[in-house]
Amino acid sequence: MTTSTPAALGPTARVRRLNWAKLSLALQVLAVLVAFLVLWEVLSRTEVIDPRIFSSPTLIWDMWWVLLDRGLIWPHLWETTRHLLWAFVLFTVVAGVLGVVLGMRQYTFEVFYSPIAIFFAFPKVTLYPIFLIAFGLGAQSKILFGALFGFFPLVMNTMVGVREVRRLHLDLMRSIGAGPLFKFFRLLLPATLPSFATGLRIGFVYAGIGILLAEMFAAVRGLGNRIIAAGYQGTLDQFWVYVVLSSLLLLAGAGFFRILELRLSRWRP
Amino acid sequence: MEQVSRSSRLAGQAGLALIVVALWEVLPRALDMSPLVLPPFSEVIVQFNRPLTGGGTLGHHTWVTVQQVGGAFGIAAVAGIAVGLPLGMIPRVRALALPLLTAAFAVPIMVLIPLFLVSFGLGMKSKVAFGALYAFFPVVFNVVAGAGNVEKIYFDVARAYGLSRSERIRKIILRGAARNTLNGLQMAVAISIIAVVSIEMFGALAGLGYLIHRAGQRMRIAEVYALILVTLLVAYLLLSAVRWLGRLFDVKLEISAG
Amino acid sequence: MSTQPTRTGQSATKASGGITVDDVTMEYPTPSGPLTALQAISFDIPSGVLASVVGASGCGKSTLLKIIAGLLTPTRGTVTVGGATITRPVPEHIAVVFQEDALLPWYRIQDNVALGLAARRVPKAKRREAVAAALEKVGLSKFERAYPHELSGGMRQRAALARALVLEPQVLLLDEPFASLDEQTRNLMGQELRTLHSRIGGTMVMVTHSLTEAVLLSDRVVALSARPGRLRQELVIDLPDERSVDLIDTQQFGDFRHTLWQNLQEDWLTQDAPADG
Repeated sequence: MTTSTPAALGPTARVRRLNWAKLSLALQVLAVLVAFLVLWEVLSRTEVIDPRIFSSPTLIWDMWWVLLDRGLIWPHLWETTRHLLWAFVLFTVVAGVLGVVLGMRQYTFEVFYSPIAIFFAFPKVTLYPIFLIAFGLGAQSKILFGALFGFFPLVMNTMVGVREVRRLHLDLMRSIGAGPLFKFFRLLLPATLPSFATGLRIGFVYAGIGILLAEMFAAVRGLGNRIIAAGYQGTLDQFWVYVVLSSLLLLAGAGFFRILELRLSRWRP
Repeated sequence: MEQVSRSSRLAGQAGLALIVVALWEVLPRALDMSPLVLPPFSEVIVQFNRPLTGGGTLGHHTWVTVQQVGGAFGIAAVAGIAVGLPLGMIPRVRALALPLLTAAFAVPIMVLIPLFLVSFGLGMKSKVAFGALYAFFPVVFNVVAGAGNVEKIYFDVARAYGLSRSERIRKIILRGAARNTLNGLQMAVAISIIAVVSIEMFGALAGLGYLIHRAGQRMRIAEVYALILVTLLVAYLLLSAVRWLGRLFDVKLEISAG
Repeated sequence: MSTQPTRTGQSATKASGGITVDDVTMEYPTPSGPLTALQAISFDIPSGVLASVVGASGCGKSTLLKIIAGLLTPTRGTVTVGGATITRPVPEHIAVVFQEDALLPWYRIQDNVALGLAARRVPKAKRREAVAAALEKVGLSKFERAYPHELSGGMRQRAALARALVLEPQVLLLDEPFASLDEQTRNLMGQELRTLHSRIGGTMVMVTHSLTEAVLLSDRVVALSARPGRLRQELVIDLPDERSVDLIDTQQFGDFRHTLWQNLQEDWLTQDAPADG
């Protein structure tokens, strides 16, 4: 009487097959990166590109150790990371709540989504002078500015994620007599989490960019500040060290959230 | 059942705009906010009558920015398609390109602004170059993704119709890749605007970002707000124009493929 | 598989699951005046009966089912189940199987089936027992730990059925439960449903657009005309209890189907032809 549809491959076989594909792709990506570095080095050594401006991987590597010795890495890295983490907490809470509230009703979603999308595409750096004057030169203005950057992608993703909750499932919840907390933890939250995680990842990167921009604009410490200083002083080896460092910082965060995103999206078809 | 009509939505948005403006006018006065933080709306509007801190006319600076955005977008579009199309046709490369570009997204290109200013100077060249670099990525990303559609569609349709229907295949291929490319181009416009205005704020001789920076330096916040509104309007108009063009092209594709 | 109801004393309460629909009207406000989905519908379904509600698309049968389930409130009229008037969902007595399986994709089958019990705060150990029993009844015992996307459409719908059954409802409402399945699976599931009904009792109301399915599976058919939904016919299906598929070729079956078709055909002729003619 039972239809004999095989549910899926055995779990271990599936995992093994996926891991190998992922590994080979990762290795290929790594190979491309190495090739890129080699190309950079070669072009710099042969002066096809100006080594005073573009430096080279080996020079950057040497300078990294020099700066590390001089204690010019950790304080600035920590300053930027500190700001970024605070900004992250701030925009996650605000965008999460607002995203749910605005996404819950079709009407508020439709009315608010386009204006929010427009602000997302707007050069928010133009607001920084206002932030500076309103909040001073300290950490506050930078954290708020970074939070502003991160807010938009997250709130947009959350709104979309909330809308993905299906009417059908809401009816189901009502038919079994589910209370509001039950509905929240069993339906709203799991349904929204994949989009929310995507928003976290994109928001984190944007917040990082915001913080770096703020530091480039007006700061005495932090990676952005170091980048601008090195850039204008013409010490471009240092410039590149800090650029690479900022990239690694954001990549690390993006990578972490990407893993989170994939884990939370596993049930998606 | 839960559909919101276009007129209802527009009414809601218009209402929202009115509420924002009303609050902007009333709250700063009511809460006694410093005019250096949030001047009332009327104060901001008045700025349009006053001379710019950065000199010149609003029209001139706006035109400089728009030119730079156009230039950046143009280069990014051509380069993106030229690079993306051949790359995207090779499945091996396509598979690599996507994770690479996703990772590249996390690299903060904004921090390269000093490099461009030092290399290309304070003039328009640095803005166009920077904007082009920034906008290049969404174009190439989408073109590669679109080329993927081409591969799939080609094989399916070629099998079904036989190669003699090559014309029809070409039309379907065009549609598949074009839609993604269009999406990439639209993103590129938005990113060009952000990139150009951002670098203008760090070092320029003209442009909207330059004006905002100068007004900010002099603490003329009402002027800053006024300029932000102008930038918002310009960005909105450019994006709407691109979206409208996109829809036009879509329609053309539908017609030609039929 | 036991052929006896596993609950004693349930039969007595199950016996009081009769449904009375009294002059139910459902109107929706639209910019151009009220749209009547259902108009003055009255009928009875005695307790313990497996009934079908049929009609062309748009005749409001799903709306009617939702009203009986308490998910919608009629503009006029009342519905009583087991003597009690329905104003909102009654999870203790009425369970619903929705059109698409409505399984939560982020939970395994066992957690999906247990959902109603979890809402009732039934302790975990008892939940597990009940879930195992329900899955056995629908033949999905081996798939407790699978995720919905790993199962076929038919299996998912069976899981949805298990989710409803585990609550031991007096009344089971099914909204076109087999609509998204292919014909063979559909037939099989239909047979299983009827067998299930004869084993566990209770009142079942199934919405379907297939006249054949309605006559084959139910004891009673309620036919609604379309736009606005009005009661066209109440038909008692006087066929033997054992409803094998061969029954479709008998004269009696044909007669039943024919009278339904006659009453409803104008609805179908004014739109696309029905799925099974």
